[in-house]
Amino acid sequence: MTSFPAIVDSTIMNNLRNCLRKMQLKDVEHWKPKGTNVHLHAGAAFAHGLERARRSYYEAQNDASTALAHGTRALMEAYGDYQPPDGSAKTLERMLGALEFYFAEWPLGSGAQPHKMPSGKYAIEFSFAQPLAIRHPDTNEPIIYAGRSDMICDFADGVYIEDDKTATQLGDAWTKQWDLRSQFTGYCWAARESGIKTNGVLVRGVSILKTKYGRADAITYRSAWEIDRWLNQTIRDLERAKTAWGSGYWDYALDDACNNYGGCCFRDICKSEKPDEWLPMNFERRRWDPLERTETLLEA
Amino acid sequence: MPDSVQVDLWRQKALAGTLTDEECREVVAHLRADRIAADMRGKAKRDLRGPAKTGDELLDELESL
Repeated sequence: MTSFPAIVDSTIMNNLRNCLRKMQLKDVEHWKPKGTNVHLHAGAAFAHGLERARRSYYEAQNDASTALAHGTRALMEAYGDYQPPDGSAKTLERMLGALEFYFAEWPLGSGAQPHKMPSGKYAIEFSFAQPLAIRHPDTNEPIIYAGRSDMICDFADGVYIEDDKTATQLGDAWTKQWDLRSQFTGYCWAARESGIKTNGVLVRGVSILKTKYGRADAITYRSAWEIDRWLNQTIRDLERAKTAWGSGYWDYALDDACNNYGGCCFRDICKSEKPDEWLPMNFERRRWDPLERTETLLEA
Repeated sequence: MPDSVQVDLWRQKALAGTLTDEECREVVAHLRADRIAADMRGKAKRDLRGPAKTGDELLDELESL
């Protein structure tokens, strides 16, 4: 089933901005590489562990040792029976070690603390789904922008969105890459729409190598005019996608976007004169639901 | 590092829903001990190497050969 997305998130927007053809293949026709991506799988398991530990400590009021134990179990449950590729640093053991390292570096109960919302709940895993001022080409309903940040926190006399990242390498480049990142501007917009005034985004990075772990912190700020610009640009970008949908032709990048970050997964497809014959060989159709955060296998 | 057999046992218990809080604390204690041991090994290696030589020191060494 091919459909223009009714709900978009930062990943879909990133695909759109990099290459419309990529958005078409991934987010309209739902082609995804066969198999499980180790970085996504391990990252998701790590996020589960973090969330559970935080909820155990702040909501259930358990001590830090119990909270970390709960987080450790949650990570194991989420990682499941998955076997990573040979040579990968993101084995279950290393991810468990990364969780222990994380809370050694950023202990529960100190530093950035989850913000208490007006409802009285702690803002652990801040999820949002907000309508945009642009209509779906078929249903005419507002397109929804959805997402989830790891936490909204009180830090240094301010309120910040908090996001945790796992990486293979940290350093100056890692710290500096967040200042224009659309994902974070979107979080700040969503918080504003939810009535929460934030100062910026606190990013925590953990590098996971075979024999050691590393950490980095970054703070990036968003002014009101930057958020307004992001909103305007997001709508303009979706208008381009609607035009492509309407015309049936999705523009190709055919440049750096094809090769950045290890190369686009559709590179071989775009090298083929008959992509439809090659797609089912290495790809399958799975639809990602940004609200439920689940993937559903579709018929080819 | 806890060996892969031990990790797998923990994993299977977690997936079966039978891994207790006490066992999870044991897992954490193993991981913490491994991390501290790795940090100490790293520090020992750096101490053996000593402080990095300056360019002048390296040139002096070259000239004395």
